[in-house]
Amino acid sequence: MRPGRAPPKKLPQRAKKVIAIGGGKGGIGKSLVSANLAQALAQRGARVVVVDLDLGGANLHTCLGIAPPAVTLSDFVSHRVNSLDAALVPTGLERLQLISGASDALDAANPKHAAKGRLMRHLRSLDADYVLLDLGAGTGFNTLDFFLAADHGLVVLLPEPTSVENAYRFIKAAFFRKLQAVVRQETAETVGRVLAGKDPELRNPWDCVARLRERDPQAATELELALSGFHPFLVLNQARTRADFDVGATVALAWKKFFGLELGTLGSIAYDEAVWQAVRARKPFLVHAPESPAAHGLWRLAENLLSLAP
Amino acid sequence: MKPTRAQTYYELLEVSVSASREQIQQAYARLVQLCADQELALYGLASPAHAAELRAQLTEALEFLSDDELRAEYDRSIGLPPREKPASTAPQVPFTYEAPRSSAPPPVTEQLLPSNASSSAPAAAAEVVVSVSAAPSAPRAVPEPRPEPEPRPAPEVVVAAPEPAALVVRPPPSAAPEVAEEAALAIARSS
Repeated sequence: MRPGRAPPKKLPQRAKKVIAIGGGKGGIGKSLVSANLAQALAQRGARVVVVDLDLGGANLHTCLGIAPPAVTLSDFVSHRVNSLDAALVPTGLERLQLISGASDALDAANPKHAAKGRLMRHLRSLDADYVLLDLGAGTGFNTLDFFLAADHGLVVLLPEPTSVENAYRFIKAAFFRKLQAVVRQETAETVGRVLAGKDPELRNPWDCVARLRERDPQAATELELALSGFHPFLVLNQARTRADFDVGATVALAWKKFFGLELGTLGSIAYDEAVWQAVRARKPFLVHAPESPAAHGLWRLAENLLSLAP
Repeated sequence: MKPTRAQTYYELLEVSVSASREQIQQAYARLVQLCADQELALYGLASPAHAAELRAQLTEALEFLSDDELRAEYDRSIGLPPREKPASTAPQVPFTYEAPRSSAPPPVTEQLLPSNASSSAPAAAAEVVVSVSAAPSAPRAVPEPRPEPEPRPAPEVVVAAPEPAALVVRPPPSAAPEVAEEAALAIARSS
């Protein structure tokens, strides 16, 4: 330690679980799921912090019925405040706090990697049982990196072709981003081609493992470990028909059959008029319409999330 | 996980090696639906050619496992002991089908509401299993072990069975996809 320099402060108690909610497409209900899932976990007795990481599109505070806070994530990233605790905002709901979204893009304040790393460290050190990250739309590197850094990644999708397509795009992008960090570049590129359907011989990443094992067993093992450790969960939103409720499970099965990779299904939420009415009322629908079908679906999600292995 | 080409027919259909013909056909019906042209889950995931390839593989698996003789030959080729004859009067060994570890959406009532919302939340945790694998369970109960039904006539197979010598651990598709599909339809019609 250099003389004259204050010793580093001990970071407070570590958050138990970080949950990232993404999905790739805008308007599919990520923020609503994030806000209401946070509320449900808090009602179940957990201490929850929900963080709006939707860069440039922060609206989680609206979903929770809070006025735009004075201190936001931007202030932390820009070092106007030194601790994320300064950005914590009470929501009026017991055991639930909010860190509102940045008004600037993350990369406007600091080099991307350093800013993300610092933010992630502080998110993990929040004094909470659950930290929920409401990610923005799209497959930008910041979004993908926060998704991958979480303990569990949730992908929200609608039972519509465009949303299903975007969900796959998001999952593939996240998976490829992960591979780039843990396997050799050539291997990652090969798997990327396979996921894009552009390899004439290899159909799925396990074909890549089999081929690699013949000439580079170590690389094959690296890839195999990476494949086994990627396990997002699907949340099907706005289900209107009985068949819609099966879409999440069918998507997971298709992903497994065609690519040999595992997707979990956390549950489905019914399309419900009560949801937009709650948004208009600027309240979580769990609070505004606790007996609504959407609320029941959300509760199942929360129970399933609580039962996930630590 | 094995590459698809290295999977056994049982692994491909996600059934136990002791699965009955009915269970095999049910598994096939569930999985082949994934390869349907208008399947929503397929959108943006796989090309039509890839879907057709998987469909052909599933159909081949069904073809082999639905025929007692072909299945017996195949089982020998992958090192399985002989199955008990379906005509046997001995009580069937309880079927140990490994239910997929997945969560299916809970049965949806017409009202989409459980009877006791507030009190059912803990119960909901028990009845809805978090998915840890991709294979969904169909919204039907796991079949109870039951005595093997009367042996059915062998399904009519349009395509001639391949020579036994052609059987390998995972033989390559022996028929063109469209011919194999005809076989599957014939089997379905005969059953």
